[in-house]
Amino acid sequence: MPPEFWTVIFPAVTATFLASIVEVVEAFTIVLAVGTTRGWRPAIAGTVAALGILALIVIILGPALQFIPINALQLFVGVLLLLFGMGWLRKAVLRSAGVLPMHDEIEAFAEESAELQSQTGAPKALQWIAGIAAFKAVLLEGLEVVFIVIAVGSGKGLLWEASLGALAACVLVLGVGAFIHKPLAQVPENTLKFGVGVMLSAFGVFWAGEGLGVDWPGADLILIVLAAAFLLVGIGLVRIARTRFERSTI
Amino acid sequence: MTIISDVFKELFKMFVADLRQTLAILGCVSFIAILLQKALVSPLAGGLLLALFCLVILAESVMRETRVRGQS
Repeated sequence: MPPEFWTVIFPAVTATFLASIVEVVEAFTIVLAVGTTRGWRPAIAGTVAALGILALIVIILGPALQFIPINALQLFVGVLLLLFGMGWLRKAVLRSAGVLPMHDEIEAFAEESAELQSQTGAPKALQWIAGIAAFKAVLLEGLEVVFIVIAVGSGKGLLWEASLGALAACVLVLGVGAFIHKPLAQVPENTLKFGVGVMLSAFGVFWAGEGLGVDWPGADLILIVLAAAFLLVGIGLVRIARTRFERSTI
Repeated sequence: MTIISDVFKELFKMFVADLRQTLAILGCVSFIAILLQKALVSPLAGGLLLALFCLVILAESVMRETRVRGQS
């Protein structure tokens, strides 16, 4: 096992796996609504087309980043990971504290189904619209997965490992979804978002720092300390925000 | 065309969940870069400051949103 397995490879693959579960669950809800409302042909066609485009983005963009000097790449990717990861962490903290409502897959499924059912026109046109709805949902949710795969994977040359993490999540969610045939409302989406936000923020600070020439003590091991700091501050913020929000709404 | 504009909107939303938080992070990284370039702090101190500022930015962003939502 390589020495950086627990400090770099494992967190990178875990982050892409968990982030992908969050996004694939959301995309699956829309695809399921399309499939149950307008049939599985447009749902599958839209999904496959979007997955093809997403795979193409990873295949083209991933290796292309290797031509950028490593310090510039680490700084660029680090800043993007900070913006993205801290955005997720902020939202997860606010949802956990009750300040923002939780994302509801059942509600999303009902809304999408109602919208598809309200459309009128020739059967072929309706099939096209349904296929485009599935395509758009998978493409938009998948963009975040692609970003995480490329960002987490490119910093340390772990593109394939990160892609495998995302692919495993896709297979797991689609397998479970196909089996139960309902929106996956039991998935603890916000907890996953919180965890991924913590990991990506830690990666962001680490790589932005490396790009700026920071000499981290313990090299990759500092990632664990950074993740612990974001986790503890996040948990603390949930408690403080919940108390203050409840007080202000009484 | 709607799909393309939705893709760009999604990309924007990915990195600008909260405009003030985004600007604060960019400002913080630039500030640390200047400190390190002018050798005003050691590389280790620069890293620790970066981590500390990011935690403060997160806390400020969460508490600001809590305050705004609590008042409305």
